[in-house]
This record gives sequence, structure tokens and C-alpha cells, in this order.
Amino acid sequence: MRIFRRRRSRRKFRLTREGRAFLFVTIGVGFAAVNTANNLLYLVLGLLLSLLLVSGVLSDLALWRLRFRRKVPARIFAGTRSRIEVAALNDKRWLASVSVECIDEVEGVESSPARFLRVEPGQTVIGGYNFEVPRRGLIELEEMRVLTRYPFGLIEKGYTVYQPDEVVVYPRLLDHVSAPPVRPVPGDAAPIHRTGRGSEFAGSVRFYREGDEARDIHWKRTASRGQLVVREHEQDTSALVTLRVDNVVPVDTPDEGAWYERFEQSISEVATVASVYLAQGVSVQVQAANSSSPLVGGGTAPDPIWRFLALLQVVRTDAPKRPKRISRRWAA
Amino acid sequence: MRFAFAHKLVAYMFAGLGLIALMLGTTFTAIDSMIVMFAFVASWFAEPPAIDRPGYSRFWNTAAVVFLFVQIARAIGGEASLTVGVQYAAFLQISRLFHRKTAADYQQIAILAFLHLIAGTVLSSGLDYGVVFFGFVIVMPWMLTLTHLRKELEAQHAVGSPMLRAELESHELTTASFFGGTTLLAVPLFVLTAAMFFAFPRVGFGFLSSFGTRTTAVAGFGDDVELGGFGTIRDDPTVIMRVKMTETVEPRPLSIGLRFRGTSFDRYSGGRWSRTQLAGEEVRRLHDEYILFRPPKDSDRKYEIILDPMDEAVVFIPEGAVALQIPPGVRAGRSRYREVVNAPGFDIRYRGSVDGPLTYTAYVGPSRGISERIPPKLQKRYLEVPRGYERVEALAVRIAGDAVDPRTQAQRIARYLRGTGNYRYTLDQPKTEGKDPLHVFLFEAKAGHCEYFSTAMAIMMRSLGVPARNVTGFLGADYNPYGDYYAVRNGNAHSWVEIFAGGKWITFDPTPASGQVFSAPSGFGVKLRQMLDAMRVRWAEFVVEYNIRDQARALRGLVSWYRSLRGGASGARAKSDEAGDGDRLGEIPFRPDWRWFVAVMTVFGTGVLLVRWRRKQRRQSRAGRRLDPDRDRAVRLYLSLENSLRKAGQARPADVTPQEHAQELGRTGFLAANEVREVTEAYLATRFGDNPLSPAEYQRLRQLSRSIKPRQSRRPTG
Repeated sequence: MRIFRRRRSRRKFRLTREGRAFLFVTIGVGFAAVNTANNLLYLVLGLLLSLLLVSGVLSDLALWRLRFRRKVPARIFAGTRSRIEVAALNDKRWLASVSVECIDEVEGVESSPARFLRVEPGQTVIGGYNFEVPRRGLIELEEMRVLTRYPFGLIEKGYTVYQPDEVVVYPRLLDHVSAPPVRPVPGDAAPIHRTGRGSEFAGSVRFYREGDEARDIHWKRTASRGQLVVREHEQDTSALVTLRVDNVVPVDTPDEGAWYERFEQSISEVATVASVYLAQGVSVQVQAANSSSPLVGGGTAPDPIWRFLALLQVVRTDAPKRPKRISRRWAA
Repeated sequence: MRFAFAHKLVAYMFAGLGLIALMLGTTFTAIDSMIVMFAFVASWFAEPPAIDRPGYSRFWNTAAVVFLFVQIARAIGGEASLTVGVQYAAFLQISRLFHRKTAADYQQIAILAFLHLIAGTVLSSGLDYGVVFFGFVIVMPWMLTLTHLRKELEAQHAVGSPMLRAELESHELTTASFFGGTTLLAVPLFVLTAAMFFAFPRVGFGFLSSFGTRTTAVAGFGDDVELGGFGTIRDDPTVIMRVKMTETVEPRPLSIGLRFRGTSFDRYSGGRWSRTQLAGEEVRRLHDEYILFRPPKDSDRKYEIILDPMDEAVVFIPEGAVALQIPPGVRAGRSRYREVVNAPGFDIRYRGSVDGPLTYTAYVGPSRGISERIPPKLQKRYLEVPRGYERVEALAVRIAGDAVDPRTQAQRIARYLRGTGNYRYTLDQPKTEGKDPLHVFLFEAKAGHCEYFSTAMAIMMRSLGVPARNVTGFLGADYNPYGDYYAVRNGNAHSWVEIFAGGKWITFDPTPASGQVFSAPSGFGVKLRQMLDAMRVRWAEFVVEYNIRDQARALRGLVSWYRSLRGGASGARAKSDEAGDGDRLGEIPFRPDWRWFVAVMTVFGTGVLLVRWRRKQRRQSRAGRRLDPDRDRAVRLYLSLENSLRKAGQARPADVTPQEHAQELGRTGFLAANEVREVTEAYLATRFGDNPLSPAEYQRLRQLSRSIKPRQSRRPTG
């Protein structure tokens, strides 16, 4: 475990494709100058090398006193493009930072850099990049790579900023899914938060309508408004759906790959169905072989369910013994 | 300013500078230049949607190929390869300018312009190149920055998208502060360039050399000259020569009447002077001093002369010069002395080409006249009078009167022509109408310029039996306060006479005073010209002719300055050390020849190999520290497999072991799963077990892992 970690790495640079061509031309001009003793070629050589030097210094200036903050959206779904916002703050007093990029590098995740064409001194510019994660689960964002090719596109200079963040990628939601209708039953084990003829006061009032009972009139409000106002009540019925996900890998599965595919599909179906039920006011709970999600009341956000599904792992009853732990460092 | 407009404007400035750099040499004719300029201007108006039409790109591509073949054919046909190459380079730039669409096109324009700048170094070495170079220093940061920003914009928004169009039409990036900032970049760029220019060791192996130095054509110094040639250049203000005087005369006179002898002509016929071609002798050289008559003395006056490259390799000699000092060039660390030849007629010429101005010092003593014996072949030639000149002869006899001494005769004739008021100096050519021009001058028009006067005197002296020759050169120079030198202009070209008397050639100038007095020009235009010329001299002095010897001298100066900072006494000692240095030119610190070249290349190559080896070592040490050969092979094998899998889009995730990954690939139906499994098992067995991996087996498995192609990542469809 690493106890101490630099927040910002040393600046590194590499030549871009144009930079390599530029260096190649510079070496060529250098050879020509040495061969011909033509002073004008020495002059051109001086200019080329000066450009490289100035380019290096300016790219440093572009990155100097520049801070970045990442803001991850509340929900990220597998297979769906999400936008991660990045705020760039230029702490310099006089110089603008031009042409700066910021990118999160997570293996197996497609993302484009957040580009900041110009950040004026003392100002913050909000940029962002699209982030598409192919599969559900937990993704750890650690380092942000900040780089610039300013001013001439010859040198790419950058550093990494350590900014740990965790992103739970929810399962992919399906467009069409069949959710069988649920018949509510009396009781309040899993109340449906809907207005109706129940004993529970929902906390809201409305104007009187034809057919409302006189006992529901809220006299105080009626007096203050000068118009009949009645209390609203919640239904006294409740509905609970328990969805089950089979996350145990069968012992004699002929095609484990196909099973995994079906499993992921079922996760997506459950996530979608859960969100449909919750929108209808039906409480939902998901059960797996070795765990279960919290009970989420109807009408509330499905995030606890999605989070549970996002982190759900398969269970192997025939888990093979690993011959030896091969650390990553030794493996590759 | 809109981004798109600013970028276009800057691109045109950059491309224009590149084209000008190409045109500076002698390769472009006036017509070529006009065509290029016309196309350059026309390309400004080539904009979408006109350039988006189908066939537009094809037309330019076809034209480029056709023009290439035409130029190759011209080169094979005898046209100078440099000319056809430069013309093609200009065509390519024009073609690109007609094609401006994306950042890549602008990038190509920048590259071509820069290549033109490099080509310009071998085409011209004058101040005009310096001006173009300075323009590059200013415009280059604009061009590179704007092209880079455009590229970034195109990476952000698709080409042709409304978003990109909006960005290109935006005023946000190309503000006044942007241009101010990038213009200020020119300052450090310029300073760094200058520092590097002066610091680079001037090795100069001399495998190639520059070509196409533009020379100035001046009439009167070739093999022959027609009567009237000088009159036409009298108003030409082009500076041909600069003379620095070591004497401290304050204040400097605005004009001096110094005479610079060029060449002489021995034969006159049909209104034309010509020179007999006789082989000359090489002028004796002592170190860098060329002895014309005697070695220089301390009492001699010194004139430092900077002569622009001319069509004729004439060395102009001030009147009374006894010796010349021509500093040698330096190539490959060795001094290359110039060969100077003295042909009959005291015709001093240098051999070999010049890359820039010829700088030399003339030592002038008090002696008058040129001690030169007349070669037998020329004895009759110097007395030759064309037929039909009896009237001229009669006039000469009449003017000479009873004088028998050639000098007295010459004085009387010169006085008759210039001092009696019989003849008038004019630049207008006398109307000869088919008659002999000398007869028309002497007996009818009685007016002409210096050539008529000198020809008349030379022929009259010959009629009297005195050997005489017509001499051409320059008379007079104007002071340039900006460069502290006297400038000799083309218009100072002059003609006079030398007669042979008492074993010496003595100068006589029969031209009236009005033709010899050159009024010092004045006015704003003249001052501007003087400033430009002073800059030209400094450019040649500090840039074009800067060499390793100057570097060593500058270094010594720096050391002495540093010592003087540290302590007055040691500084003074350093100065005295320097003063005691016997080598006036300064020694060459080292002599880089081909061995140096080989050594430098070896060091460079070794460095490259070392860096590659270190990188490989680091990669391997990251993968497997120091391993025994079998395990090392196993690691390399698996790295190769991972590389193939990455290309096939099946990279191993970081949290999956090699074995798990191989199994996962088998489950997902990866076509090359068996190969992956085989290589992985071999790797694991060797890396973590005791199984050896022979080189042959390693090669076989490596081939196997390399055979994994992207197409194998497809799932079986059956």
C-alpha cells in the first residue's frame, strides 16, 4: 500500500508527430550547415532550435498554476455516454492558458479528453468529456492526465494529478421490458404513496371538489383562503415486488460465456423493471443468491436497487483453485 | 479579427515570405516571378464552395504530376536542376494555396514555406535574405500557433460542422492581446537564434557549397568595352564597393576623390576597346599578404575594401597600392588562401567563386606610377592607332608642339582636353550617324563623357609614339556616416589614361573637372539608402562571413572581459596577452576534418543506440527485473502475445491474470483462443515453474502469438 503519494507528478514531455518531423528537419539542417559552412543555414538551425526551446517554455507556462476539479454525474449507466464535467481554474495573474486537455485514463473505458481552448487568468472554465463504460461495476478514477501541445503542436507536455474518485456504473437499462401489473393489497408494509381514501394524511391540501367529504375540509386554510380547502389522504394499500436474480454459475454449464451474457442481460432487465415499478409507486427489492438489496419504497428513486445490481458479483460453487497469485507486476 | 481570416492572412504572409526567399536567387526570371505572384494573389480568392467542386482536387493533383514530368524533362534537356527544382517548389506552394481547407492544408503550406526559406540560404546571402528571415521570425509564431489551434478545433468538432464554422468565425481567440503576445515571442526567438548562431562551432566540412550568388553586372571591366558604356551607368546609385579608412580624420569629408583601378585596355578599333588575353602570373603571397610591388610598411595607409560580388573577378586597386591583404576563408578548420593573378596590363583578378562580398585591405604608399614592363607581345599594341586617324594625329602633334618628353606631351594634351574649355563634359551620347565616334567627339560635337576624353588622349599619345592604354575603374566615394565608410557607387565608374614613361605607367585624367567632381548626394532617400547599405555591410560582416576564427576571437574577448570584471590587474594582463598575440587573424582553435565528422557521427550513433538499449532494459526490468534467460524469454514471449491481443482488441484487463484471460477468451469464442492458451501455459510453466523454454520453442511460440490478427477477434458465425 502506498502511504505517500505525490498529488501531482513531474512534468513529462514527448514529441508529437509534427515535433518528430520538426526535429528530423532540424537535424537535417544541422548536417547541411556543418557540411556547407553556410552561415545562413546556421541561422535557420538557430531558429529551429529556438522554436523548440520557446515551445517547451510556453507549454510549461500554459500548465503553470492551473487547477482541475472533476465532477462525476450522479448516475452513469453501462453502455451509455455520460458527461464528466471538469472545471479548470487558471490561478495565474496575467497569462491565459491556451489549448489544454484533461483526460481520465481508465483501462477499458472509452473517453475523449476535456479540451480547454482558452482559460483567462483568474477564471474558471467548465469543460467536460464523454465517458462510456462498457460494463456495470465499480470504477476507480485516480489520476487525471493534464497535457498541452501549445503553442506550436511540436511538444506534448503534461503531468498527472492524483484525484481519487469512485464511480458506480449502473447496469445498462433496456428500452423495452415487460413489467406485469401489480395488484396492491391492504396494509402498509410497502405503501404506495398515492392519494386516495386512506387514513394517512399525505401532508398536502387541495381545493374542494364536488364529491369530497365535509370531514376532510381544512377549516383553518379555508378561512385564510376564503375558499374551501380539503386535506388529501394516501391510499391505505401497499404493493411490494421482490425481484430475484440468479447469480450462481451452474456447475455443469456447457457454455460459460453464454451464461455470462444471459446473466448480464437479466441484470439489465431487473434494473429496468425495478425502475418501472418504482415509478408506478410499487416498492421493490432485489434478491440474489447470497445477498439482497434494500427495500426501496415506491415512488422514490431506484438508485439503491441500481447500485446493488451494479455491484452484484457472480457466485461460483465450483470456484477453481488458483495455482498461485500472480501479481500484475510479474505477469506483464 | 475572425479566426479564419487571421489564419488565412498569416498563412499568406508566411507563404509569401517563402516565395520571396526563392525569388532572391538568380534562378527566377522576371516572368517566372510575375507568374508566381499572379497565381499567389489569385489563390486568395479560391474559397469554398468553388474549391469543393468535384474534379477540383483532381485537376491540381494531375497538374502537379504533369508539371513534375515537364520539369524533369527540362532538367534532362539541360536546364539547371536548381532552377527547375525551385520552380517546382513554388508551384507546389501555389497548388497548396489553392487548396486551403483544413488545418492539414495549412500545415503543409507552413512546411513548404519553411523549406523555401531553407532553399533560400543557398540562393542568396544578401541582406534581402536577412529581411526575409527576420519576417519569418515574426510570422512563424503566428502561423504555427494558429495552425495548431485550428487543428485542436478540428479535433473537437468535425470538419464542416456548424460548431467548427462558428469557432472559425469567432473573434474570441484572435484578439489583439493574442497577436501582441505572439509578436513578443519574436524577441526571445530572435535573441536565442542569435545566441545559437554565434555559439555553434563553425566546423564547415565543405562537402557542399552554396551556389547562385547574385552578382552585380558593371560595364567596363570585361574583355572589351564599347565607347559610351560608362555614360549610361553614371546615375546608378548601386553601391559596389565600401572603403574603410584606418586614418582618423575628423570630421570625415563627405566625398573623396580616390581612384580605384580596375582593368586596362590595349586595343582600340571601331569605337571599341579590348584587352589582349595573355596568361598572367600569380601574385606572390606572404601569409595573407599579396605583394604587388613591395611588402607593406607601417607608414603605408590602409584601406579596407568590401567589394560586392561582380560578374568580373576584378580586384580594384587604390592608386599607389603596393600590397594587398586578403584574409583566407576557413573551411574544415583550415585556412583557404585565395589565388590572385596579375595579367599584363596590371589586371589584378582573383580566382575561385565568392559566396559573399570580397573583403581585402590595400596598403597604399607614396610612390606614383605603376612599375610594369611591357611584354614583347604588347609593345606594338600599345602604340597601335587605327587607320584613318591622321587628323587626330595632326591634332596631337599640334598640341604637343615642341615637347619631346612624353610626360610634357601628356600634360599638354590633357590640359587641351580638360582645361581650355574646348571640350565640354556631358552624359549625352554624341550623335555619330555612322561616323567614327572619336572624330565626332574631337572635331564636331566636342562634348562627351570620360570614355571619349580618355580614348582621345590615349590615341593622341599613341600618335606621338608614346605607349598608352585606356584604364577603367572608379573615381570618388561618398561618406556613409551610418557605417563609417566611403561608398563607391556604380555611378562612380570612370575611365582615364596611363602612359608609359620612364619605365612606369603614369596616370593622366583628361576628363574636365565637371566630370570628375561627384557631388555628395543628400536628402531623405539618400540617407535611407545609406542606412540600408550600412546594414548590408554589417550583415555580410557579422553573419555571412562569420567563421570559426571570429568565434575564437569573440571567446577570447569574453574571457578577457570576465577577467577584467574579476580584477583590474589580471584583466589588464589578459589584454596585454591578447595584444601580444602575433597572429593578427587569430588562431583557429581546432581543425575539423573528415575524422572529426566520423567521430561526431560515431558519438551520435552510439548515443542513439545507448538510449534505445536503456529504454529496452527499462522495459524489461519493469516486466521481469533481472531474470535468467529462460524466464526472460518467457516474459518477452508474453509481452509479444499481449501486444498482439491489444491489436486484436482483446487486451488483458489489469485485474485478470493471464490464465483467467486465456480462459475468458476461450469462453467468448475468440478464434485464436487455442494459440493464446498454448502461449500462456508455456509462459506460466517457465515463468513460475521450472520448465525450460528453449530458443527454438520461444521462436515458434512467438510466431504463433504474432499470427493473431484482428480478424480473429470475430466470433464464429456458424
